[in-house]
Amino acid sequence: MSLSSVSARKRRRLYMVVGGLAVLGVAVALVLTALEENIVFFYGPSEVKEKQLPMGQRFRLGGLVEDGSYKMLPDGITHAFAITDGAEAVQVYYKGLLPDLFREGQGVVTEGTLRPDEVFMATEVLAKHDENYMPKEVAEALKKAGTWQGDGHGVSGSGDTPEKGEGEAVFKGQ
Amino acid sequence: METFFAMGGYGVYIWPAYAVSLGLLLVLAWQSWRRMRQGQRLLEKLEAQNPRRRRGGHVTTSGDVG
Amino acid sequence: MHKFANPARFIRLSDLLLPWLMAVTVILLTGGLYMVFFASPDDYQQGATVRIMYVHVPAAYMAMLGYSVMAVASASSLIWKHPLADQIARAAAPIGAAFTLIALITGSLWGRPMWGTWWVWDARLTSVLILLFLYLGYMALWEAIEDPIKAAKACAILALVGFVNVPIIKFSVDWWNTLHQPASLFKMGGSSIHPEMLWPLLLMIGAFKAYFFVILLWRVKTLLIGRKIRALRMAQLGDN
Repeated sequence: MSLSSVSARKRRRLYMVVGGLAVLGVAVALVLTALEENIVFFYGPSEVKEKQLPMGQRFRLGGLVEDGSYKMLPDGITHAFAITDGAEAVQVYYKGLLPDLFREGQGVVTEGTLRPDEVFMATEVLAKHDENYMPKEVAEALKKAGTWQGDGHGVSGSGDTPEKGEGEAVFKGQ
Repeated sequence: METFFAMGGYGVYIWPAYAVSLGLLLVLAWQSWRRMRQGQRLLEKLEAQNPRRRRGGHVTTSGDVG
Repeated sequence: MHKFANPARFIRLSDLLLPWLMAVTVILLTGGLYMVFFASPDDYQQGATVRIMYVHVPAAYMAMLGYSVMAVASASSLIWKHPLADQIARAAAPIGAAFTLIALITGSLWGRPMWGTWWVWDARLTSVLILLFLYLGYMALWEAIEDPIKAAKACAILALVGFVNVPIIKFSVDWWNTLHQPASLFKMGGSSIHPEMLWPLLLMIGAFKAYFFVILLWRVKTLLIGRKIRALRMAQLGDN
């Protein structure tokens, strides 16, 4: 067996592996694109309004808890708040325990059904936290200095990103 | 001290997380080390039984993988 | 490259490296754990639970690095028939599986207090669970096929096919709406973790990485020794 034929076979195997992976990658990308509806964990308020999801169908609604929207209904057990993506907002009612991270301006994902009057009746509320980590004092200092751009920008709803969600607390290297 | 273990009420989540992680890593390290020592001892025994083939710790590169 | 291909030379080199790697593991782990529990602040939103991040993120990172090591080794086994590649790939699997399991368990323990749930079937969590099954399937396949040459080939192909999952895990939080938050550390424009919290995280990542290579070298050595034992036994059988 000559040396060149050995390297030729190596090259052929290389092409086969690379080609195989490329074909596989394209196939997986196609499948994932086709299944996108099922992979997406929640819809944002804009998507909900625009899609006209059938009433009574269970789905997840996610976004930021709108500032100043939270209140307890007079019955004393129903939490009421609005979920927003900056463009649209949906009113949510929920009876049950809220997670520790639940607060206005923070991301949440809720599951439930839409009532005919467009109130979302949630049976489950999960808090979504963002990718920023910092000590309390630093967060307060940032807020004081006016460089704060709002909490909960970990939530990306549909196409239109809320203006306040653009902010990023970035700590460069060091 | 107590406040340290309580971790602001989240101790019940934080301590198990570290116990499970370090426990798993220790078990894996121990198992890997033990298997290596067992293999080394068996190899020494076999080489002692068969001194003719002993080639100064040289590992054969032929065929068999795994 | 093929300088290290000789198994005897590999063993000599790894014996030289191992004491250092072990020392680095112990030092980084001690320093990292000290910082985590005594010298890092609570998070402004998550309070003390941010401490779970220091073990969760490094474990998840190692889970993906472990699979990448396995995939690269498998590719060089298939293409260049590198004589150590199969052992490296096979040795990496249980370590990667352990890190994947740690990432899943610590993530669950973190999700319960912060998200309000132990588990959701979002794209990130599901794809990491698939990673665990890939590791386990890979390890089972090695055991299932008797002929070592055939087993090596089948396992290498499985490892490469499964590799498509790694970019899916990495980008799942960007491609789809997930409950899991986007990347903090490895992202465009620098990390979004405050330096006081970044240091313990980096120490823990270093410790886990050093640990990975210690165990990897031990396990590759074990596989090479096993191969030699089998060869010796065959030779003895032939003699008698």
